[in-house]
Amino acid sequence: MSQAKLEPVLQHIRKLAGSALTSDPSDSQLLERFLSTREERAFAVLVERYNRLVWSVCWQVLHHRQDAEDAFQATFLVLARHARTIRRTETVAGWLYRVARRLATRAGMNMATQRTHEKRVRNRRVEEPGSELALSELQAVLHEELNRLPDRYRAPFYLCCLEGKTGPEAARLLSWKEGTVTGRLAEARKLLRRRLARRGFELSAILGACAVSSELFAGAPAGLVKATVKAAIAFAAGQTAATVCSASVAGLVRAGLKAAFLAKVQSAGLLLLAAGVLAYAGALTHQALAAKETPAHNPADVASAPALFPEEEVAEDSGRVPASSGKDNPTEAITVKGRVMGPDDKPLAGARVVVWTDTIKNPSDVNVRATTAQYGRFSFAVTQAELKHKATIVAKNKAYGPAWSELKGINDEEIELRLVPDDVAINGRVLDLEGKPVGGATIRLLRLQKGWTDQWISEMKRGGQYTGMAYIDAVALDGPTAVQTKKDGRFQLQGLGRQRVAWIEISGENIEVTRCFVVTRAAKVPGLRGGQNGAYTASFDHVVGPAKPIIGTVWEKGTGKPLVGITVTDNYWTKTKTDERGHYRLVGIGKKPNYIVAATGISFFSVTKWEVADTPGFDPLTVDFELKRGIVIRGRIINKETGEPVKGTVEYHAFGDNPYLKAVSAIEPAFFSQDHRGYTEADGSFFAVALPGPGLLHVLADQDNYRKTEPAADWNLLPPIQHVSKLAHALVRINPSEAETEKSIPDIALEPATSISGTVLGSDGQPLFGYFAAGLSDSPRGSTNRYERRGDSAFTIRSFDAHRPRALIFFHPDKKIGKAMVVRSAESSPLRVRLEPMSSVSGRVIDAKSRPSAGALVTAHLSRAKEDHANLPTEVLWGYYQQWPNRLEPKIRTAADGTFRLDGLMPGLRYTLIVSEEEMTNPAEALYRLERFTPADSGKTKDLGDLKITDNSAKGT
Amino acid sequence: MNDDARPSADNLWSPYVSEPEAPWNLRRVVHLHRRAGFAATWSEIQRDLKDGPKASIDRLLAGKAHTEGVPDKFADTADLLATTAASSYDAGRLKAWWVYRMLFGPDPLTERLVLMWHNHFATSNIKVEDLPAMHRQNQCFRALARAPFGEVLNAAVRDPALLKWLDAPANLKGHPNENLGRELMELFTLGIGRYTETDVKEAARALTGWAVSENGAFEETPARHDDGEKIVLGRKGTWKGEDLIKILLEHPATAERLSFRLCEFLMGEGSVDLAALTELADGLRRRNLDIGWGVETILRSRLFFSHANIGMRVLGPAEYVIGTARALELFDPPPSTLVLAEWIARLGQDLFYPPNVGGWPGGRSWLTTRSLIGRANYAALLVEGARVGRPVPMDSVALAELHGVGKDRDAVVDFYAKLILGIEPSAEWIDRLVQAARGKGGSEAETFRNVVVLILAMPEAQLA
Repeated sequence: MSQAKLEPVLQHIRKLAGSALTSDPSDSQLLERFLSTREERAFAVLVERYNRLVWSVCWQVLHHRQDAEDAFQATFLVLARHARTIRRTETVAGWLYRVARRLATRAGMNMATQRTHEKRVRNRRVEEPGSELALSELQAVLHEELNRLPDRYRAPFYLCCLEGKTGPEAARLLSWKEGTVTGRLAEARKLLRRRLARRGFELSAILGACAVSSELFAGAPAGLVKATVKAAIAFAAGQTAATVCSASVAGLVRAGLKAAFLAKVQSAGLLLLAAGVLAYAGALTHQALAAKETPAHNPADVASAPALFPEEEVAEDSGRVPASSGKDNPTEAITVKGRVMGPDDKPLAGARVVVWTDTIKNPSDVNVRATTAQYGRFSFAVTQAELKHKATIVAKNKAYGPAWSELKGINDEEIELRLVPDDVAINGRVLDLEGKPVGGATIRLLRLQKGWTDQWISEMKRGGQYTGMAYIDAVALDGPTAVQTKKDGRFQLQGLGRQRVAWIEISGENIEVTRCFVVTRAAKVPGLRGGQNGAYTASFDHVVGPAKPIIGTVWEKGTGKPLVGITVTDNYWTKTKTDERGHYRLVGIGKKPNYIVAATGISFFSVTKWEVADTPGFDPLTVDFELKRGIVIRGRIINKETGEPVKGTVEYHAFGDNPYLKAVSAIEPAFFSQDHRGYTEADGSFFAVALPGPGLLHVLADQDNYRKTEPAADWNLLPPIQHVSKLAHALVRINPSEAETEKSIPDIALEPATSISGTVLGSDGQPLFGYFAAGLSDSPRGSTNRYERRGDSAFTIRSFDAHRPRALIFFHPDKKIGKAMVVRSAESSPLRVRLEPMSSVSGRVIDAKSRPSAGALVTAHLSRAKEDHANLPTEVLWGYYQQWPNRLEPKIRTAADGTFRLDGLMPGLRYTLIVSEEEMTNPAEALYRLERFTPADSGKTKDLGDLKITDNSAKGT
Repeated sequence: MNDDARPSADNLWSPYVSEPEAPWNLRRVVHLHRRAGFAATWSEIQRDLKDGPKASIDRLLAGKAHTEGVPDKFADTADLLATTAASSYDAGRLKAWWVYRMLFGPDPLTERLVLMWHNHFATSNIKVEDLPAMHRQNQCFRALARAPFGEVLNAAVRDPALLKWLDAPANLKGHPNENLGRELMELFTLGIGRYTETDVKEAARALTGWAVSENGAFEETPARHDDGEKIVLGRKGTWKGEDLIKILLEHPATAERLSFRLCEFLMGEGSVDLAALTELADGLRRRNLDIGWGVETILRSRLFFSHANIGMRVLGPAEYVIGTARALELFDPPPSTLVLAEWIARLGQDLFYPPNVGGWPGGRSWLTTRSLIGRANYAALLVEGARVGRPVPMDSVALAELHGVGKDRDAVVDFYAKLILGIEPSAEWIDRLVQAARGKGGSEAETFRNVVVLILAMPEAQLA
């Protein structure tokens, strides 16, 4: 009996038996049924199951309904035809995610090359309101990182965290053990958290942002799902793509099938061929296929077509001025004067005074500017150029610990530097994991900090950071700043002074490189965590693990030539360069389950390998690289008014329709590189590595002191650049040609913006310290809106623009005072912000039968409804640092009588009150919601009365 | 069957005394250390041979069996390594710390008991994801290793790592989660078949409100506890978690399960019959389930030293890996503890990551074609040195010389046969071994290293 005849019988039996399909068969079971019997229902279940996955990916990439529908349909058509190519080790979810993303990207590129492009772009803008831009950026970031996860992590993450499936449900769908799902999910979260943190995002915040986007996860329209199943079945049965779907879908399907074919070819083991032969043959195959299927993307065609954008067009807000020496003469000398005191508060003669700037990297470049005379006085000249580089006056004397002060502008006031007693030496011992002393290890002082040490310690113990410390690099100090451990593993560092924080590095043959802080304080501090990046007091034992060497070769992609002088690093403390044969050996990386290894070189696109698995023992691990050469773009960032260089970053992005994108697997953010690409030098100059064709330089100054600009509405914001931050200090379009290897562009001039200064006062009217402030900058740069205590009552609102009123939040968690406000005009400067007691809310939670509900979790979430966006600073609204929401959103469990009282609500903001059983990951878990309620006035309590919860007990059953 | 295999039924666990049929000899000393610890060095073997069974077992029970390789300030160093490891976010470091304790610590019996409890209350960091919590659980097992079982159980089921592992925080009034209740009955106390599904449901209700606080400690929230009436194992009451544990401790099946667990830990396959298990269970019940009594009774028994018990238990990966390094006195420089932990995992026992709630199956399941090859590879690399983190290869002849054996070929091979296997090899056995070792070529030093590897790869070396 043929399979076709059997099918109705099989279906009947399944229905009679309660149908395996109704009992949620696994993906592989469904695929098997579809493959063996062409069972339409099995395929339909798969489409329904992954409707939201595929749709969300397509929508996320394209933000255009018609295009998303094309990509959606094409993805399932490719699945129907190539279901057998899904490797045993790959999940259906992971495969669909990968293919959907590739096809959506392809759809976006196709669209861009069409002459109707501008009209469609306009349509897209309508579909994505401006207020949702920031949200789409977060989602884009999440999807980018998801796309980079190995399939085994991506699939469970998607199912559990985005689809809301439980562990057992995901396990069933994936045909994995529950423990496997749990473990891989945990690992996925860990990886994502780490990778997102590198980009300044909190995973939980992004998930929260994605959860509020119902559009994204709504799934494809029902009609489309039905049509897709029908088309896919016909396609699987042998009909051509052109006969079962539209021409645009058919084109995508062909592209998808080609990719599947190449994947199959690769997995067949051809990679074992000699690299050169493979590269040559692979290029031929790829070109042949590309020419056949996507003629519009043939580089030759594009090169002859008119450029879409004029070269080096500078965005509206950032004008261009010629390179200029500016108003100030950098060599102009300014006199600074002051005196040096001893720890006993008596003037100290004979102290040496030097100037350290952050451009000085060698001790020999630190010159003694003065030696204090009678009464401890000194006077010498510094240049304007020095002042611009964190010029810090350092006073030293052999008997005491150093003192220093950064010159933040010159006035007539005397600078007083008080040396500190040098009675607490650092006495450390280095041990290995076998408890044996490590002799011959090098201990190097990198940096010395001073400031509010108690607060610093307190933040370290909490796992946070306190950055209000003033520092100097070790080069500014006298004497040896590096010592070696003796045979017993011990070492001593002296001359740093009491109550300082030393940042040291410990390295040596066969041990991992570690860095840690040491506070020059004799008494032990309980709860201080040592180890890598940890902290100790002056006497301590430090344990280091063994190192695992990583070796390899770096070749040029395309030519197969070995590359010399390429930097290879673990993106942490260790790096090296390739030799003349392209070989490298990376030492000092601690042995661990997985490694990150990155290779970068000027004029090459960097490549980072995120998860290189360890090998047993200590034999070197081999990691090879192929780097693609790009075009070096050189330029300079300057202040438009003064012509002075500006410190900042320049990030290159290729436009989505750039035909050369095919040549690179990914364009990594510049900060992944170790060659300073994308970062300005002291003179404002920078270099970036670009592809030929249309691209964009995204400029962001370190200090948010310049006017901002946004991508123009008609720009072709297609992947992979749609996540370009909404706000930049300049956006510069480029369009280098293939023939160029290096290109200089005119200076990029940033226009200074208005700033507003102010002072924070406590409820007693006195200047306040140790508070937190959000909204002082609206730059996307993480360093401008960190969650950290401020050690200065004065604050500055940077880059203020009256067209964008600025929401601010100040609060002091220990004193339970705060203030939320919106600044609309610069005229109010300077501001005096007096923090007030925060307010409270109380109530009683009762169940459906009006019985008190004990132990319920009551949380006040800041309302993120659109009408409340304007009242929340960016970092709070989007949770760049999850600590903000954590701190501002109090929660408590109800008492035995169901009552609760939540303190710490900010008057002036709106909240959503949620009652749940546990911490929620899914809004549907809420037992009670009170949207957008206004808390009571400062210091008062609002009683919400009885809150009747819904009976949620049936949900899990 | 040998006479000493089956002591008389009225005193099945009677103490062992050296006698002509079962003399206190090299074989029994090696057996004691390999079965109850992590093997002994040559000096430790000689010491115990001389001191006799009572003193040797006293020393083992007192936590002083290892005298060689134990560093000064062992406890301080172990604490330092633990603190660093627990805060490192690298599970490998925590495994290395435990390996450090097993390899260098003075008290092998306690470490073996910690392994036993780690298996009995099997908790995996794959779900817990909290190294400090895993470390605290491990320390708890160490502190209570030989305590009355009531103390062990009460501490273990309130341990935050185990509670997270078994979803206790999700066990709420009105929404019971049965994981903890089920495993408490099936794995921790009664054993399968000694309770009903209703008992599991009622036990889960009794345990509602047990959770882990935000700062990672055990917490009991009365508001989330189901204070209604429950019937557990036929006993009716408004039982709480502590009542449930009391009921389970009093149940005869718990003593029987403990008796089984201790014999699985210390006795060989087929060397204990039902009568002996029952007698041990009775004894435990009469003594408040005192694990210390149970361990001592077994170790001092004729049954333990009986011919039928020797060489009848498959060494687990940790026992094999650590025992090998100890017997060969690779203390200074030692192999990397990180790599030893890696080998233990490769051989099937990933510390802190048991495969499921039931722990490792153990016994013959440790031995597969792959793991046997793995053990031989481990032995070869350990002796070679570099790839396990030792800068120099092992000098097999020097160790034999150090213990007064000399350089004579037969004497050296004889030394290792005694040290590792506890046997007196025949001349023919030695000849065959040396021939095989020479077959691989290389210098005399390499030949002797090969001898050691070949002995370690023998089937007999996988047993204790």
